[in-house]
Amino acid sequence: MFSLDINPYEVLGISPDADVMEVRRARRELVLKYPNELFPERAQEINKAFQLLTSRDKRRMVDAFLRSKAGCALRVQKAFLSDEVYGDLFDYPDRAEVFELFKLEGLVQVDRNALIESLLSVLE
Amino acid sequence: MASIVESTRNAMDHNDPASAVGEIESCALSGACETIVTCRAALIVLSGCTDPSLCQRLSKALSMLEPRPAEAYLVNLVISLCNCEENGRVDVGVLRLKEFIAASSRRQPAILAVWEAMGLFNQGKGRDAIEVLWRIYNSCGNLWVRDLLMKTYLRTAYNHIAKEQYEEAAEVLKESLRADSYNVPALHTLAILETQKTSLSSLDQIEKSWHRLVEIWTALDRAYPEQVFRDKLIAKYKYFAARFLKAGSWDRAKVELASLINIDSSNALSKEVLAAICE
Repeated sequence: MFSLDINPYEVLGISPDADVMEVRRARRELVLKYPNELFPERAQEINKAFQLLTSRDKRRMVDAFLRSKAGCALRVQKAFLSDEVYGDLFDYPDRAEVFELFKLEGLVQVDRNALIESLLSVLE
Repeated sequence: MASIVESTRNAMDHNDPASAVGEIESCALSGACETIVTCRAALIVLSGCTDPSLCQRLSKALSMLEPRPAEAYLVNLVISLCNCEENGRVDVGVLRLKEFIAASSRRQPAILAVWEAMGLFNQGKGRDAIEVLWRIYNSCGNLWVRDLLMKTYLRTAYNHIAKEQYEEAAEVLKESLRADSYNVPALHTLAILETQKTSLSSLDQIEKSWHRLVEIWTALDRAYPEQVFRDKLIAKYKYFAARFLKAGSWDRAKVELASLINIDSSNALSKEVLAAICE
């Protein structure tokens, strides 16, 4: 059964409607950006994606797979797990504010009512 | 000289801050009272009155005082309090206030006790700091102290996380949630810890970790329209939809995608994927 571990459209940065000319152009640009000697894994992915999308039969299988349940995970991988989304969800919240509280030099911000109470108790 | 304090207390007891302010104004103008006594009277007014025009009059009256150097910082602070909004915060110079308190009082006010707790924390004694803060909070019930207490729990947990002591961090967070089950940063941090340690085969645990947080974020999203909590919810639904899809948990993925579409109906990819897994 046909299966994929990469989304070739995402690897080449093109839409599923892209024609063969666009596939070739995308590959050419990426090969210049990620030469094999420096980025062997990336270059391998680019070549694999290119081969899948330039063979009519293979591309038909790719499209069918991406429409299937199993292909859905690949389709959302980049869009749903981007750094932006991940960072927003997984940053420890309000950390800067919490850290600021423990600064005991210079100026610190004190609650109005707590300060009034404290000053009154000092002046009694 | 204590009479201005007495008369201010009396006026405030009779819900008449305007006459208390009037007396303080005359006192400041005539120079008849000591600076500290005038400040004390002003503080009594401020503890029961937040009327902006009266506070402004108090501020003007205090600025007419001619304090000795040792009292100048107190006058500055009380003027800042006059100009501070209700429930606001005032910038306090820690060293200057400590010096003033050391010179003028044998009693330890709550603020110094709080700062001592913070000092304990800075020496690495997080548990001791939490204990001291609980004692202060139980004796005064001040909400600011409670806020500090909850943040001390958080900071203690962050320190454990920085040392990769995840179990200890989770314990501290759970303890803080027993005291305040609506502590959103603690819920969020605990959910992150649970999720990061949870493998894809333990999906029930993931759901349990985030459930209450999602409930609170949803309520906050309805109450505050500025989208902060909606963005968090969207990030949560996307992340879990992706994880459930990868694990082949179609029913769970459907729930996440449906929730995502419910709050972000413009997301075409979610709709396509939901349609694909419903086929």
